[in-house]
Amino acid sequence: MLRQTGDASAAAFEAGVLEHLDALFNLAMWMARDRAAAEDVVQEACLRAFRFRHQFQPGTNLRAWLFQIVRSVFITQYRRRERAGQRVDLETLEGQRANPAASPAPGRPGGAEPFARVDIDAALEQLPEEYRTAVVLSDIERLSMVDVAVAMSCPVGTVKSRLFRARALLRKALAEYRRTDT
Amino acid sequence: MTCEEYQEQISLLQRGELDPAVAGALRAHLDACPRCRAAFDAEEHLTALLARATRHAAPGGLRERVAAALRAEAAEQPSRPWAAWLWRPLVPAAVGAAVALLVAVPLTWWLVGRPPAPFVVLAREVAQEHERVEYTRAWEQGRQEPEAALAYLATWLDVAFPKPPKAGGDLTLVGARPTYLFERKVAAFVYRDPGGRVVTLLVFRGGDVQLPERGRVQVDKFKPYFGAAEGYTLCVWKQKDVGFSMVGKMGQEELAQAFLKIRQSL
Repeated sequence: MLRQTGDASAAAFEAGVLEHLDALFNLAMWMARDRAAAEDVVQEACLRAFRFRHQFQPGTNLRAWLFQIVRSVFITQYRRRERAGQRVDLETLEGQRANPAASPAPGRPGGAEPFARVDIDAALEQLPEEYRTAVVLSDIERLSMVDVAVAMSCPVGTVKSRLFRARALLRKALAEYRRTDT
Repeated sequence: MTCEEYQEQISLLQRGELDPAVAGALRAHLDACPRCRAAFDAEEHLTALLARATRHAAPGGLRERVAAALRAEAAEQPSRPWAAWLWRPLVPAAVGAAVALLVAVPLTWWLVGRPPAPFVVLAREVAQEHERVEYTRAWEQGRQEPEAALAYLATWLDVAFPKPPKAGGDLTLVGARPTYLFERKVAAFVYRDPGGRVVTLLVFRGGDVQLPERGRVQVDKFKPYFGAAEGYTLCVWKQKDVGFSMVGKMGQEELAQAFLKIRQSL
């Protein structure tokens, strides 16, 4: 009886994790911007979530909690690689990306459709990680502010200001594309 | 509010996450201010664009690999009598096994998310009360030195937190014990001032706790939340993932002074 309930708990948790796998992978892809790295992050995050499943507070948003773990794994792995000298400094990378003119987006159609998907994606990729993740969670994954705050382990006020600044940067980057296009 | 402040609220309004009173004021302002109306339209346009951003789907192979890894992990973890309890953290490990035996039958209820049977709730409360009493007695009988109490409570809480000071301003640490707030483990530190008034410092895992924006008060270089409940004044703040709360029967100004003394030592 007890053994069965223990297994049932593991099975229920596994089903919950797999249900959100697309969303977890999406976030990992937007953070890592590399398919293999994103897969590693998601697999490690799922294992970690499973090991710490007793820390999940029932009644709260499982997806937000899983996002939090994905981000934590990404940051840990990123820092490890950084120490091992396998990757460029995050600030330098973000600094380069923060200037849209320095890395113009791929081809864009003009006319009635001012921005193609590649524009949106490219503009989003140029954002610093904290801004990009806030936008991905809020606008692509449609999380509430409170859940974004859980996923990013920061106060709701911080999420609001990150989103405000991120959106301002996105508008600027998109306007830049339009200018270089005409 | 200035136009800039209104504009900061626009995307919240569009997401339906704005306080109704603020939303009303913002709508009225948008009707009257062409500049903010243009910002509103630009926000709406950007939201529509973001809806078209790529949503990467998990590759097929990943799903299988994750499922296999989780099953391997489950097989490695030996099934314990209280394994099902881990899914919903309920009882202190010390008494977990005994209580799990008592409630083995209704356990399946927990797994499907139904409300717990009254007996399960009672069993849990009984176990938690036992733990509180046992620990409090140990402290009162002098078997718990403050240092040992701090070490015990940190282990029990399973989170590293800065050591609460033995004294802060007029306050002197006179007791400590484990307790629970809505099933959340909390370490309670009891301080007393020369007038005999008690101020309690509560420490808990607070990674998921969101402090309200309203009610934050600047005290020196800190900005904790201050509020009142049941005739007591309380303040709440976070240091990384650890939540702290101080509560006492005094005015906000006085509690702020006490807060500052304690906070500066943490």
